[in-house]
Amino acid sequence: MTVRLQTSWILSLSLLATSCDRCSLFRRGPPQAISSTRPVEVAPMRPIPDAAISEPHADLVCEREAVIHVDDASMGIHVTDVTDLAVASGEDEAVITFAISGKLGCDQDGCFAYHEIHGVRFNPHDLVTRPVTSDWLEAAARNLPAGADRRGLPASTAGISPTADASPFVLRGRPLILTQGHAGAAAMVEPGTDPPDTMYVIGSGFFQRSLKWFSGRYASQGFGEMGLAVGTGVERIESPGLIGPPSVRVFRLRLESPPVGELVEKAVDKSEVGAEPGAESGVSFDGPSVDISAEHAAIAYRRNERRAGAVKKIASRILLAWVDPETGRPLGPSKSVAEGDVGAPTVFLQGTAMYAVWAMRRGDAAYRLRYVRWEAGQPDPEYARDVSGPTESAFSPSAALVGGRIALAWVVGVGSATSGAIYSGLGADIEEAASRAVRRSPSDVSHALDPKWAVADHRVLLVWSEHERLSRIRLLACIAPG
Amino acid sequence: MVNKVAPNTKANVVTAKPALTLRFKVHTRSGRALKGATIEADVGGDKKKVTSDAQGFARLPLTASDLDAVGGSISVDIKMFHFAPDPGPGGKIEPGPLSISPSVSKDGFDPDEQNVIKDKSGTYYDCVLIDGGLVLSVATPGTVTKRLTDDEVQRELMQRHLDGFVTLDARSEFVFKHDESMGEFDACDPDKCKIVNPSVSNWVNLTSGKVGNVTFYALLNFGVSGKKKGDKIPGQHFLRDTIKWGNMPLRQVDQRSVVGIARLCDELNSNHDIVAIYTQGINGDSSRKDCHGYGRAIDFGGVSTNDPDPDARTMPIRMGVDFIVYLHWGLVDMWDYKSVAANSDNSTWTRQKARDDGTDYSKDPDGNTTPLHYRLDPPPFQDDVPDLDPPDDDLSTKLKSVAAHFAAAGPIFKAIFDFASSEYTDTNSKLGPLDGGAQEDSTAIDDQSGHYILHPDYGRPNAQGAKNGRQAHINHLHFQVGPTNYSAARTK
Repeated sequence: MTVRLQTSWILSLSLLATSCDRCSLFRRGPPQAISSTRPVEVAPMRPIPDAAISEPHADLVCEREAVIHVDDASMGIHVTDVTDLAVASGEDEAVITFAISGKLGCDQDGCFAYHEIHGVRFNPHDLVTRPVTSDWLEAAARNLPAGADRRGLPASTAGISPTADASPFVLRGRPLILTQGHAGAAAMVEPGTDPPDTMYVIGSGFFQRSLKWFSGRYASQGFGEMGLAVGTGVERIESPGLIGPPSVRVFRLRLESPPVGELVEKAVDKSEVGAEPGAESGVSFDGPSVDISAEHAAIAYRRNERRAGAVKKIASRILLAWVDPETGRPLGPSKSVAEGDVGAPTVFLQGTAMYAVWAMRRGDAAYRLRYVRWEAGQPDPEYARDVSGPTESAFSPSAALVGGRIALAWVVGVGSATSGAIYSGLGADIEEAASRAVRRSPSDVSHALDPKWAVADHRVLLVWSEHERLSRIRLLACIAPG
Repeated sequence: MVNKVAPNTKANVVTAKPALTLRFKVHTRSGRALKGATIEADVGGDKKKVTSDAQGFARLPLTASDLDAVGGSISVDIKMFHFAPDPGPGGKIEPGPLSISPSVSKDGFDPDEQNVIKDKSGTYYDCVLIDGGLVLSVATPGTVTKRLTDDEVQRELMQRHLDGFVTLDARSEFVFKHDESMGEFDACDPDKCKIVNPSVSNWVNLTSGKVGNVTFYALLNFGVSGKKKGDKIPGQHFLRDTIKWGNMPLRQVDQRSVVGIARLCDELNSNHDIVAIYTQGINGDSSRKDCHGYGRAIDFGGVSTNDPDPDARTMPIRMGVDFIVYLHWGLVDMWDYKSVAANSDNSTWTRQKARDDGTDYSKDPDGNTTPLHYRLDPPPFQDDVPDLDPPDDDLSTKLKSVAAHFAAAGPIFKAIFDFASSEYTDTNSKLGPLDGGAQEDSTAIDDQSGHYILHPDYGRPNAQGAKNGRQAHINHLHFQVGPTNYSAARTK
């Protein structure tokens, strides 16, 4: 049996053009009608059949799983890629977002979808999946600008074959999604539509927008009433066809009653080269990660630089920074903790320290996980060190704090760069979590990637994508007993 | 470096202290600094030689006695292996030194003289050399852009750069490695003078949006008036339309696309007096992995026979001057295919009431039941202008311009399409010669099925939930060289 979930939309709208160029405040628009939806097939939660997976291990008991089919039948296009999986969980509701690329069955302009964002919601408490339906997104639908047929989550896309980015987070126990649509080809802003790169925050009965001259990819995290999003991307400049220098920005997320939230951006890092608008600086930022607690907030990101003539054409660095959890303002300069062939980092807070974990390899050796600790108030991080774990080829780490302990998941490479199995473990520290890890992805799945955690109290969700003949997302619901 | 300053004794150091230092900056037409160029000056019969640094600057110290020796002007040769003085656009490259004789006084160069530039450090002489490898440039007009070999693409691009038709920026201009076994100024041999930059797989930047006599502008928005009560003729509302435009430097464009763009500009300027092209997108983008991201596609929004008013970014449409795809093609109602199918006499044809009913003409490839016909043929809005009461000569003239405007618009847009279907990818996305030198038949603008060139009369409508057909291209022609999709985004 499968459950029909709705993740895509056909919208009919009209909205007055927004005129706020650099405002930091979300604004709401007049309600409009939503016209129809599209289904996605999702298998219901069921007991995990593999005894080895369900066996209690390291205090993390994963009892049930669900599979979300992200394939041609469910998405309506030939899906060629599923990326940027992310999950956020409140007490009674959780959301998964992901991006797909695909082909519509023709070859001309507009026949290809690039980084199109979708979402699925479910109940982590009773393990009953629910669709991201029109009622959940009703407020967003009512406030979206007019346009033709639209697929996926609401985003400020414009033009032909546009891309979009999404990041889920939780504020006051409510799962929300930050989206930003980008410009496709011939992205002319029509009357009643939002310009590309307008940021939306959507959720059940909640929709806000903010215009930003920044275009990026995001990670977001909430803590109580405070939330931060970190974006890696480029400054936008008004001249068409030109983009500004790369930068990293932190956005403050708030819910107020009545909901009027705001985004306040603080520049954390800007490229020191390529200040000339439109110049190919060779520098880019990506891999944003953020964590926030009552007292602290930490961000991590990757800086990539293309070096002409160098043996390795791309040199990347992992950078960390402390930011004010209230304002998002940087509390000091970003510090580099790794350089070379490094993967995107994941960052989390434990007490007064931030930890970052990433994959790194030297030469042709396998990727290994490395981590670093940085105590708040200290001028510099400690020295980075390897994670000694049960596997050798490890990459794409994700880490979270669960009841004071550390949940660590990663991909164990199996042959090629796109082959992998998901391992995870729970421990008092990173080393212990790694040493106690077990394989979580089924033994008959050889292309599992991109694990992500969501934590709500002692309830832990672990999701990843699987890329067999067809793509799907697998979700494990776990408990970390007191 | 030979520097015939007096021997470095303590006494002579004092007497040989430079009275001034002459600065020379050596660079290419694109502004690329040339390191290692030799600047050789004749100082009263003595030769003084310095070389340029990484910024292209060379500094020639002159003592007071040197100044006396040169007698008010100094003869200088600036040279570099296999380079030539820049002959200017269209000039002949003759490898050898650039010989100059600028005036010199105790204050340096005369800032009023040609090629003397003043900066915060004083004056310097601006020396422009050109790589002798550019003699290898040649156009291949007998081969359409999509069928050029990579070598032909680069040689034609070189030719356009040499002619000044386009100007590649410093990062994109052609750089050669010259076999050092050749004489200093021997004519370049293609086997011994090899292109080292740009690789044919790289995109290039132009220094501006100007290509020949045509300038590219960004088409940012439209102001569509719509009909009003009291209009004297059906097309009067076109007199009230506006467009918003912006500057559009050409950056990150595929080299083959630059060649195509240059040919397009040649064609439109020569045959239709076009001097401005409005586009919704022509530059590459390293975040996209499609033909637009690769800098291989143009979203062609319109043309003008006069440049837009630089003081009016929101510009009223000038009838007979500004031909905008959206306003003067896309917003015209399509022909009702039933009326077209019923009678070949176009005077009996009627237009669709909803402008475009979404018919998929590709389902009727022969056009037997749903014939697709170019909506600007015959031209719309050819209504007679009535006598105005009271008479208003100015308005009458404007109203008459509507018919003439649409009579001209149809052939212009069709010429752009015909050019694109010939030079750009139409039915076969392969680039370079086809096997056995096979030729393709060009597609008609109202072809029932539609291929890679999309426009307001494209045969297929948008698929559900997609922007891949006629409605998505109501405001521009899209044309490209090569396939639409790539496995990865282009980064160089």
